[in-house]
Amino acid sequence: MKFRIKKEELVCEHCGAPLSEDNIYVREIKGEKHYFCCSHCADAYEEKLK
Amino acid sequence: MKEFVILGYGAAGFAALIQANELGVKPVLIGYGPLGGTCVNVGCIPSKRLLRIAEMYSTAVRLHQFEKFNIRPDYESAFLDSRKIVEMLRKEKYENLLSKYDVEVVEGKAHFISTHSVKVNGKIIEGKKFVIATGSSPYVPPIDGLREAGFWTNVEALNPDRKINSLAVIGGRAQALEFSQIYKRLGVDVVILQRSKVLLPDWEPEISLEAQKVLEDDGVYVVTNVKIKKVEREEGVKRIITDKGNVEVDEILIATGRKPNIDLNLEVAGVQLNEWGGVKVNDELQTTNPDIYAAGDVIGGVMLESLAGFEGTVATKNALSDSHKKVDRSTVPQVVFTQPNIARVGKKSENAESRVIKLKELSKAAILGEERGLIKMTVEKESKRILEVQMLGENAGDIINEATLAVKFGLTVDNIIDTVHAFPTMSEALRLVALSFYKDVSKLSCCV
Repeated sequence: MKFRIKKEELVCEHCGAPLSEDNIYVREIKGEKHYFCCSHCADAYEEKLK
Repeated sequence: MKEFVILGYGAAGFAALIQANELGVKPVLIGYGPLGGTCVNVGCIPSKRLLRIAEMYSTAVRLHQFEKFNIRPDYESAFLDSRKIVEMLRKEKYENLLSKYDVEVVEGKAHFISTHSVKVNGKIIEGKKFVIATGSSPYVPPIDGLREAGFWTNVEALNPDRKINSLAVIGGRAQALEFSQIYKRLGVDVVILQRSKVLLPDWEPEISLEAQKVLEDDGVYVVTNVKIKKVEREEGVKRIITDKGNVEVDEILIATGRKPNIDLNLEVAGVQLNEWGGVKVNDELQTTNPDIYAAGDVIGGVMLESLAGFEGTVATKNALSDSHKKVDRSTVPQVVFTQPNIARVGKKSENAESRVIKLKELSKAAILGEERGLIKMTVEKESKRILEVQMLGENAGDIINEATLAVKFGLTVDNIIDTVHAFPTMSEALRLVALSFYKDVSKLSCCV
């Protein structure tokens, strides 16, 4: 197998913190799932969209 | 006019046949392809057998004393073994069963020509009641160049025509995860290309991340949030061009879900479709034609062998008697049979709270030498009634059945806590996560 493909780490869509099973929070916004490190970041992200 | 006509002879169709006989009715059973449908032939049975073979070798390799032998299952032998199981179970559970039941079997592809009749092999069969149980087929996404380059679905992946050295799996749900593990453990280099940001995107996010870790531990290369632009074929190599780079592999497996088999001229029968593109039914499995019922994958949504069989029985009872039995799909457990298993049951609602515990808290996990994984329980805040359980861990596919009883019968975390569980077992995970609603379980001794 040959590959030249970029692998992305999943990070909080608001603050950019790396996400793991110890700190992951998902919220569906406008029909799409978004991943955050906490509900505060999700709130802040949602607020920015308003 | 026939009393009862069943379209399809897979899990749902056979369950319908058995139930019809129990109600004293001789049905006409119409189907095409090998008896038993997807599950026994190209679904659960062969794939779970291959996973088992891969698991046995993986366990042996992990044991220190075997390391020097570099044990790996033989590629061809593994598939041969799985085919033997398929043949044996198809014969025992389907072909031989037909002679034990009162049924008229018609081999062929049927389509409706009116609200109460179908045509098959040029012959018209009229029926008072029908059950549509025609199952599902792999869904192949429209990717530029894919058809020209060639690809595998579950059918070819379970019966490979050659030994391959590398495989790209397109998709990131149950089927993609299971085949990735099978092929990787059979010595094939595997890359998963998943469109969503995580694997298993409609599961709890902790489970999604842990599932990715499990596959990466096996050596599977997982790429998420990737868009496939096109596929090319050059001198036996298949090149996948994405927005994140290119991959060159021997073969491509499409594992992007399944679509209901609805090519039955349903319009003339007055049967409408639902939002999944399957046959629309009410909670008694009756279609928009009151004399036609449907069961199994052809309905769309959750497609599971266990559900198909159950629905075949329920649809037939409702079609042939006044039972008005209902199907509650919200309490149907789902399992991804990777090792460790990934399982879930139930669904969340408003006003809920969740707890997660790592399975390394369990003594049994240490005994098994498999401490990876976690369990997440979601309950109603006030009553502590269990709404949903998701788990990634050894034997999670078995443990989820206890959680299913809890969700189905409205048990609370206290009901689980007050039930002594056998020690040491992986089932204690359920009690431990229930306890975590009240205390820090990392500070508990073995049996509390």
